[in-house]
Amino acid sequence: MPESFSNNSSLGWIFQPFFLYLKPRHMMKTYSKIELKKCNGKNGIPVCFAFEGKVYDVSESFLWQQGKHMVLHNAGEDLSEYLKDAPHGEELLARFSIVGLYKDELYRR
Amino acid sequence: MAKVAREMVEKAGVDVDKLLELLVKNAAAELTTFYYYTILRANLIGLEGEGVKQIAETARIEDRNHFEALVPRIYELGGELPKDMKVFHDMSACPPARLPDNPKDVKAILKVLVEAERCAVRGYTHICNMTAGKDHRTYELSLAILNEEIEHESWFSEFLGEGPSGHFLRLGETSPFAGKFFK
Repeated sequence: MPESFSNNSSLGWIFQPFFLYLKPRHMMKTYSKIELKKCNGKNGIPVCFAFEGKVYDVSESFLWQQGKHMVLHNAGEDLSEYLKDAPHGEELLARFSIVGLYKDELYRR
Repeated sequence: MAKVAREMVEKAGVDVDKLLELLVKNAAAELTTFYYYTILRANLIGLEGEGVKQIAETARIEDRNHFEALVPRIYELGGELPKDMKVFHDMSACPPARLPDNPKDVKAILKVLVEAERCAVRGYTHICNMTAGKDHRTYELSLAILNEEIEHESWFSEFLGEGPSGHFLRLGETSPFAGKFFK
């Protein structure tokens, strides 16, 4: 079992949203807080952020240029708490690919 | 710069530098949209396209009006526009509303138009939320623009078969909501 699941006692890795079956969870890269922080869009590095335990790659998004989004948000962070205040919902995230799982979130479950 | 006006906004708890960045980005979105809509409107031809042309033109002119309305507020609050037009284009709060690969595909053009309006609706909702009860002038300006962007979205959405807009096309002058900010 991958290191990222060693502390996860729940069976969440079996019961996961359908689209995650495209790439089974155990095959996805797991990001720690430090690894996610590196994904900041600076100097050609991909632009990623975490939302509810999943890491999204938004490098192709015009609205995430240089790792900044609408002045307020930076790439490389867990933005789970902020979506409720945003003028858009979770549906916009479906436009981007999930490139991994966020480890800190997994430990919380 | 309107020094006291800025102070009042700061004292009300608004991060004026962040607000200014948002206003400049949205001003960029308006001006670039005006440019891209010029191309979209020119390509709205034929039996399908001609029916959409008038509302695309109204939205185009009103987006330019929004740019004109935003600029004074940016300078009042101590901000400025970038000296370089290319920088201004690339900092837009919305992606470029480029002509689709197949310019004869009216539905594809409509999708570009509606996406651009939806981005604007989100952007001004965000500014309204940020300034409500704190920066009355920016709030009123953003709300006026938001009213028009919502109408634009509903016009294009109607053509895409998403349901009635509830409106008839604009009769008389453009910018019934934002007009007072630039006239």
